[in-house]
Amino acid sequence: MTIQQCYQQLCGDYTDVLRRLPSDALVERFSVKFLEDDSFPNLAQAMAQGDCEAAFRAAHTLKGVSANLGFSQLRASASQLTELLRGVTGEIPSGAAELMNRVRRDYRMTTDALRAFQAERSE
Amino acid sequence: MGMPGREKLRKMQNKRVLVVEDNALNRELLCHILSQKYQVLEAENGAQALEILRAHPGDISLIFLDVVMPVMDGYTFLAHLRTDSSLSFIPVIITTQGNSEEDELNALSHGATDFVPKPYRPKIILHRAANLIELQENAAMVNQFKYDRLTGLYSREYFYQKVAERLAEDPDTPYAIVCSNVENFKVYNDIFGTKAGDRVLKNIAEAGRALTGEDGLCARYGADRFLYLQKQESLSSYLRQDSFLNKLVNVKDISLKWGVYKITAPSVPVEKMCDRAFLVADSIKGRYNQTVAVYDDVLRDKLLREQAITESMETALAEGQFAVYLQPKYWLKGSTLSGAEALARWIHPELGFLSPAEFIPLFEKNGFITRLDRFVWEQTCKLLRRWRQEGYPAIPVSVNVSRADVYQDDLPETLTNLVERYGIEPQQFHLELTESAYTENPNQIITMVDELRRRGFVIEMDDFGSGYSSLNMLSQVHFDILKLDMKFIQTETAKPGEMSIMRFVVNLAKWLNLSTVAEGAETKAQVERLQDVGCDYAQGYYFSRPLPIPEFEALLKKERMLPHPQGETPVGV
Repeated sequence: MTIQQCYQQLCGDYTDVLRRLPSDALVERFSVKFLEDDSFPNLAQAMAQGDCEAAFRAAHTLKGVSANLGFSQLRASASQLTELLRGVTGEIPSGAAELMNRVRRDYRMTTDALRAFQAERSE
Repeated sequence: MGMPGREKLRKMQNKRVLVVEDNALNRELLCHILSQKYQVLEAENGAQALEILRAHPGDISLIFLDVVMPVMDGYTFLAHLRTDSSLSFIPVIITTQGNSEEDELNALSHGATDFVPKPYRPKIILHRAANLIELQENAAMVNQFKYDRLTGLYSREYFYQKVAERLAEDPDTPYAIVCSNVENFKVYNDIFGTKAGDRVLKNIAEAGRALTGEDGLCARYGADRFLYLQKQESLSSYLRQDSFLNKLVNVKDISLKWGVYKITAPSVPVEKMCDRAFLVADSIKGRYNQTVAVYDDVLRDKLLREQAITESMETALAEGQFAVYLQPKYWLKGSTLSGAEALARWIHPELGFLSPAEFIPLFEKNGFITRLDRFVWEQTCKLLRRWRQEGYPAIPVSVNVSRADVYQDDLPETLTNLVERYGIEPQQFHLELTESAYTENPNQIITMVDELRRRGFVIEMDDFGSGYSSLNMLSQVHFDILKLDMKFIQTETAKPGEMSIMRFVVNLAKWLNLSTVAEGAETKAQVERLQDVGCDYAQGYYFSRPLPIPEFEALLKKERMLPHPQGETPVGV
């Protein structure tokens, strides 16, 4: 699997990321780092604890990271969740759980693709 | 043009950029982009960033800042940064998400300089970084030009500009330029050190700010000189109360002189207004009891005249506007013409007959006096040669040797060459040295006088009794003739004869084997008193004013080339 195929699998915008990080090597280097990124685990934890502000910060970060890496689908769902949580203090608003499910689904899709790419590379 | 690429790159890499971002991946990505051109420092939140900034004062050129962070978020960090005067100048680029106008507005309104959206576009980020750093550096240069580093007051140039603006904006209010300088500040620096001196300057700056208040302007002109712009109405409070100003600057051992220039015509360049304020402040230098002076027409005329004199002195010498006059000296026992003092007179084509009392002190200040002295010496030698050729009696003529001449080591050589060139006996060419040269540098004059006498010159000590006369001088400097200042004789006649200081001085001189010459003899009573105390010679208006050479020669013919009634001929002085 090439990095380009990996991006197709995770519904990312490879053209865009290659324009900004102008070599396959760099795109590869940074994209697999996403597997160690803690913004999704932070988001999941904050949602589970009902900490709305922490959830907003984590969603916001996840949105930024996925934007930087060109993970378009994850970016879109993270962005929606971020906007829902923005400025909210106290209880997590209704509808957040459903959006969180979409983020989780997209996150899994993204990390699955990245892991598959990484596994093939290390063979 | 420009430096080679590698050099340029090295310089850019020396610049430091701080990335403040909590997410490791985002931070790494941004650092990777920036590290192509800069040294990158990283912080995970605002608190860490402030620590780094304070550990690298003045060393960080640009900050990239994420807004949403734990511990201290971006906006809180910005608020800290903008209120810290040592950091507030650093440009900050906020890394926003997406292209929300609200985010961008928010960033800018919190004091961000610019923003870049995620996802990062490396080329754009590098361009923005370069632009902002350059902009900031230019602004820093402008600030350096605008403000004095030590005191934070305006710089001289910027003050001129601000004053001109204010006068144009507010033409109906009468303003004044006030200036101050510290008496003997160099001495203060020398004794207490530059650091203490800098503290004094900061104190003065504070006092200046307090003095001029909200609508005044303050600047450091340079060194210990300060400038202020104030409304004339607010001047009166301290112009009347002299000590008020010096109390403002609460430092021991420091005395300030203040000059005030009231602005009447805004057409005068600000620079000139300030010069005038300083001129008037300088005019009270060394006057213990005066701290403030106001520039007025009298001073203005005096300064303009001085300027006119200074500007025309070279031409005057070249065009022969200076003339040598001779003031006769009389032997008091027989009222016989026995010598003369050569004096410079200046017939100025526009200003007319100028008094030496006016131009000599000026020449002493600007150093031209040595040129004029040499001119008089040469003219006098020429005259003495002609007198010898034409059979006049060989009476001595004295010339003035200024303090500045005494400091020139080749003076004896110069004078010997001169008399030899004209075939004059040095004994006939008397040299009048001023007593103040002794006060300034005793050793110099002691050696100089010995050397001049060894070469045969006769030395007269001029102005005795006018300044700080010293008995040490009388015993240490081996001269021939003591000239008593005219102040002596003028106060003398007001006192009873037995109490005479002059009698004492004349006796002292006799005891030291010195002849005495009194200057400024104007009345018969004065001359009688001089004869009474045993003074040898006198000059002054009672006998004759300084005469043009032909008139003096006529007098000399009349008095000395005819048989003398008393039959006694003085040695001559």
